[in-house]
Amino acid sequence: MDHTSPTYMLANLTHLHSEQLLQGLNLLRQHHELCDIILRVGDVKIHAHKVVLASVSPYFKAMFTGNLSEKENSEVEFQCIDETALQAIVEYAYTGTVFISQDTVESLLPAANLLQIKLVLKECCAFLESQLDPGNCIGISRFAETYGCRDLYLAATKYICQNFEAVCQTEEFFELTHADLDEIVSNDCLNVATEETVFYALESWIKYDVQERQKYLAQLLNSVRLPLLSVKFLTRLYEANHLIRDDRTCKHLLNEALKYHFMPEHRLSHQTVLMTRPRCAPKVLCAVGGKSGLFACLDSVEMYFPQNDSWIGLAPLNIPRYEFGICVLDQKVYVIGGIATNVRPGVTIRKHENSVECWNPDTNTWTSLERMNESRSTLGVVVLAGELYALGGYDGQSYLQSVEKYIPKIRKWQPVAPMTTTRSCFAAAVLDGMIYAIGGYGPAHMNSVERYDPSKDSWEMVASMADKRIHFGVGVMLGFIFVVGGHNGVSHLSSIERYDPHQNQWTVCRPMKEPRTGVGAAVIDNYLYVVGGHSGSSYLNTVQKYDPISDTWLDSAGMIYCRCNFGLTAL
Amino acid sequence: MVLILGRRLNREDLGVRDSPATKRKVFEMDPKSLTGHEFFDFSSGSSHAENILQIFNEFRDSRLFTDVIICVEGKEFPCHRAVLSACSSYFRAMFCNDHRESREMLVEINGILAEAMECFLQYVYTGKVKITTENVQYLFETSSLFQISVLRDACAKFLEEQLDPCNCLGIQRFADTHSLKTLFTKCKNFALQTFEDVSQHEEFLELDKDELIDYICSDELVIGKEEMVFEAVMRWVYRAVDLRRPLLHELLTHVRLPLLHPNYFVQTVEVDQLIQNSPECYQLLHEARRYHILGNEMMSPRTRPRRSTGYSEVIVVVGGCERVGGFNLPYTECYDPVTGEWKSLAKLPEFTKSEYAVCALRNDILVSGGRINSRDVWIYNSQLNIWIRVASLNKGRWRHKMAVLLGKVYVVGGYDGQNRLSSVECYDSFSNRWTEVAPLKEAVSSPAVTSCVGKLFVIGGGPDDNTCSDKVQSYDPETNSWLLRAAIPIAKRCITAVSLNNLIYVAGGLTKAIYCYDPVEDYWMHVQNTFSRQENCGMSVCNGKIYILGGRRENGEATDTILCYDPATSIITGVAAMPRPVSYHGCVTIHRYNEKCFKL
Repeated sequence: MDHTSPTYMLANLTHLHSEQLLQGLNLLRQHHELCDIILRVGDVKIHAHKVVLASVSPYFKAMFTGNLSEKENSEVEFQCIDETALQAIVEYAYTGTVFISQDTVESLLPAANLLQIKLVLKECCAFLESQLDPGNCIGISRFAETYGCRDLYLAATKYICQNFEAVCQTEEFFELTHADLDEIVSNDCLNVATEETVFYALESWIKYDVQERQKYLAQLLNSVRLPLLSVKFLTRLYEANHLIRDDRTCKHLLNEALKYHFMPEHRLSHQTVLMTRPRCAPKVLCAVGGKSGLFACLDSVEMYFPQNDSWIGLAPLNIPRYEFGICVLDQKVYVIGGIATNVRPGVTIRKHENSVECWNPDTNTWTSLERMNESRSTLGVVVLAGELYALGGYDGQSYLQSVEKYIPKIRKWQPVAPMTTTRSCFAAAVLDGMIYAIGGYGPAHMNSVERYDPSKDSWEMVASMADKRIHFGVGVMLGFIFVVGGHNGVSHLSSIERYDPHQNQWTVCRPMKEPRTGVGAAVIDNYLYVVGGHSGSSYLNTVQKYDPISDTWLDSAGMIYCRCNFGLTAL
Repeated sequence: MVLILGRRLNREDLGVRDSPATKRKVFEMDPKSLTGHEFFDFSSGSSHAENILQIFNEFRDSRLFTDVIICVEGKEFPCHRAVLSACSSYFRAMFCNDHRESREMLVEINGILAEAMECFLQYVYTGKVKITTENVQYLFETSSLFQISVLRDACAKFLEEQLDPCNCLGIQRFADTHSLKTLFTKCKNFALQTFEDVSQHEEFLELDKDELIDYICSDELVIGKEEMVFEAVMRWVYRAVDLRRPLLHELLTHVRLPLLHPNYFVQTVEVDQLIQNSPECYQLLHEARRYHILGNEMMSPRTRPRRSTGYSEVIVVVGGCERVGGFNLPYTECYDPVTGEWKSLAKLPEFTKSEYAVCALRNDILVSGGRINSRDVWIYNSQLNIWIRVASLNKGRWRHKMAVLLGKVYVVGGYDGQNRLSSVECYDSFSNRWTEVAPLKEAVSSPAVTSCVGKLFVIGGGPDDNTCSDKVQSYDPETNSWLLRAAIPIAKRCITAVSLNNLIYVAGGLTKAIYCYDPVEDYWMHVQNTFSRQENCGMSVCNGKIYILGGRRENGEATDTILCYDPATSIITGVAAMPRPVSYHGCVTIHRYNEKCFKL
């Protein structure tokens, strides 16, 4: 070579070279050339190179560098690993590839766990997680726990809770130990339509082997949130279920639950609150549309996160609306009727709507659904037994007392019994399987309250509020209906009162700091959040929350927008 | 250590105890799920291989699992047999067969450097290596020995990137020794491209004769002027003059001496003592001198310019007409067969005439006569791209031909509107005069005329309106006399001829045949066929091949085809078409300067 100024090239051929090297090693293995270790499982012998096995498995590295006897130095016998699994792992060492299936994962995972091959272990767990099913999730959960696969265990546990209604009908469920069952049933995230499902699941488990399991009844019953069951259901249990009737501890639990219903002051004790936490309770607030000025109608949507005490913006409505109904069904937000605003040059057109929009939180999108039979603004909206009820309101010409319900399965609106009086600007709520229509205007300010029994398809009057109210908020918690704010025909209200259905009586509580009309109200974690509205002098974005246990008000972060006559719901 | 193992045994027991229940439960699936994802096949791919490689290197550094020591120049390298064998057939053969080395813990390898072995192992265990000008040769040889083609190729690539005029010949020799065809080709192309630089370096002077000839004979050699080649050759010879003097003649046959500047030729080449004392070189000097006097009339491989000088041989098509009674064409265009490009030159003046004669005189073009009975003569100056009118013919004519013989232009035969002419005139460009010389033995129009071996040949033609001649008339300027030679196999007129390598080739006359005549042996032969019958076509020699352009078909229509006949292989091929059909046109070959080619 000639003399030149020093130059060099740093050739990086690692990728190509390492691939070729591994292929070469695999070829040597297949020909049993230069192999210095034999792994034996039963009658099967697997030839390999120590240097390769040690490079993928700390277990093998420790084995091959330890002080082993001469005999063991060239041959190792495994008694607790499946031969197919060991072959697959050796194949993995030489190729980086492993085949995982239903047939192989059960033996492959323990082998990878023993030999400390983390990547294979991780992929086995990922595979099992992808296979979770109501019929196998309990078994997978136990399998994961056995081998210390924490992430898989958590995923399986979550799956069990999310799919409890299906899981509790599987064979695996009936073979749970009482401790495991207790742990599942105690979970706040148990996804059940009503607490009755939990009770029936528990009852089925015990009946599966009454002789062995009856002794656990009281302990398990303690994990069921009995106060959330209706008086009717509790009474029937007391009368008809001899297992419970004959057990003194169970009777005590039932009595405590009934106290919850018949002794209102008892509901506000700290211990009772713990026992009555709803399953899959709402965790966030959603504020939709409304008015932010005399002529300003909003299509914006925002969400409140209590743990951060903050609001964020979401996808807007298809059309700006106010004075509409809002509810949550199957984890989706429904916006129903109201007044839509269409702004054209110099002209604002308002239209009473029968249209319905639905927001999907997974995709942050709004879609249109089937229209109501009647146009309604200032209506009441509730969900009962998986069906969506639209009550009363105003159609632009007259006040309404008609009621219709939306049945998701057949995607249709059907009329049901009308209210006893026309109502608009009122509130609707569900408590103990009944729909309550509260106050409103039609055509006078009202403090009257009536309720609907779906089993009878009829309405009946109940006790009236202390104040007449229109455009007010409503929330249900701890067995009470709370109403807050609004306008009584004379002035804006700051009062809040609660209704006890068993005593059929309203009680006045500590008022808000300032009056609010056109206010939103919803419950999270046994707080009643009171949001926005109009104070009589200005539009509000402020938020206060009411603690019924201490009968006190606290401040929370305000909304991005001022809103009045808007929709607020918790989900 | 035992304790850890004990814990694992406990875990295994636990697993076994739960296994029966788990087995039954884990994989009970609803029928609807069976159509879903039933298995999972993943590959960690390159990351797996690269991770393992990294761990192998850590093992090597820690001497874990090493089972052989490779000893080179007394330096010991602990390694893993399996790793070496997996990537090298050499080591696989060593360790996997029943050789002595397959059982030895210490293996000594001779013939390579310890540093190269170290680099090699660095590559084996990391896939990375630093290739430098100092180590590339030995690393290449080591990777060749151990049959690691990827590393070997990386070294070759590095050498490619190191190419420089001062080292490319050495690298080329290295590539040749190791059968690296790509690198060899790249070095050769590099040397051709940078020849002026390369020839200044020591490596050049150490080439052997055949290697040197391989470069200087190439048309692709990149030089500014042929003088650079001459000087390079002389430097090479003078380097070891006693040994290389006998090679001078052979080397000079590949230098294009005729293309040297006449002043340089006289002042440098002819006065060189070595050349003066080499009688075998005189013929080459003579050829160059003749070229300086006669120009393109004197053709040999040495008169063809190298393209890098900017000059190239081009065929010039002059005038012609589209069909019988059709329009006369004013165009003068040149065609470069190598690039396929056509380029327009200055238009032919007074293009209303037709059936004139055209020839090349040195690097210029003459056009004479034309219908009806014109005496006008024009010269196209290729340097100035202009047409200049010169002395007129003594006798006006058309359907005649012209040829250049020993630096003078001869006008032969033709037609004056009434009679075929036997008149022959000679033009001296120095005195700008036409002089009558001895007349033809047989008066003809539309013959084929060319010069060869110092004589003028007139072939065939038409003695009258109804017949064709098969006579071959040869003119000797020294005796100013004509002789009849062997007759052409078929009597023809409207034929065309060219001279190449002391042979005459004739085509046209509405035949497909191409005939070849050897003046020395006075013998005709049929050598090839064209694809169709035509007459009055253009013929010219360019880059050592015969081109046949255009002409008129039997139906009277002109054609735009171009044929290329290679006498060396006797192969005829069709090449690109002319811009338009044409016949009765002139075709000559000149050298033309093209800046575009030079820059390319």
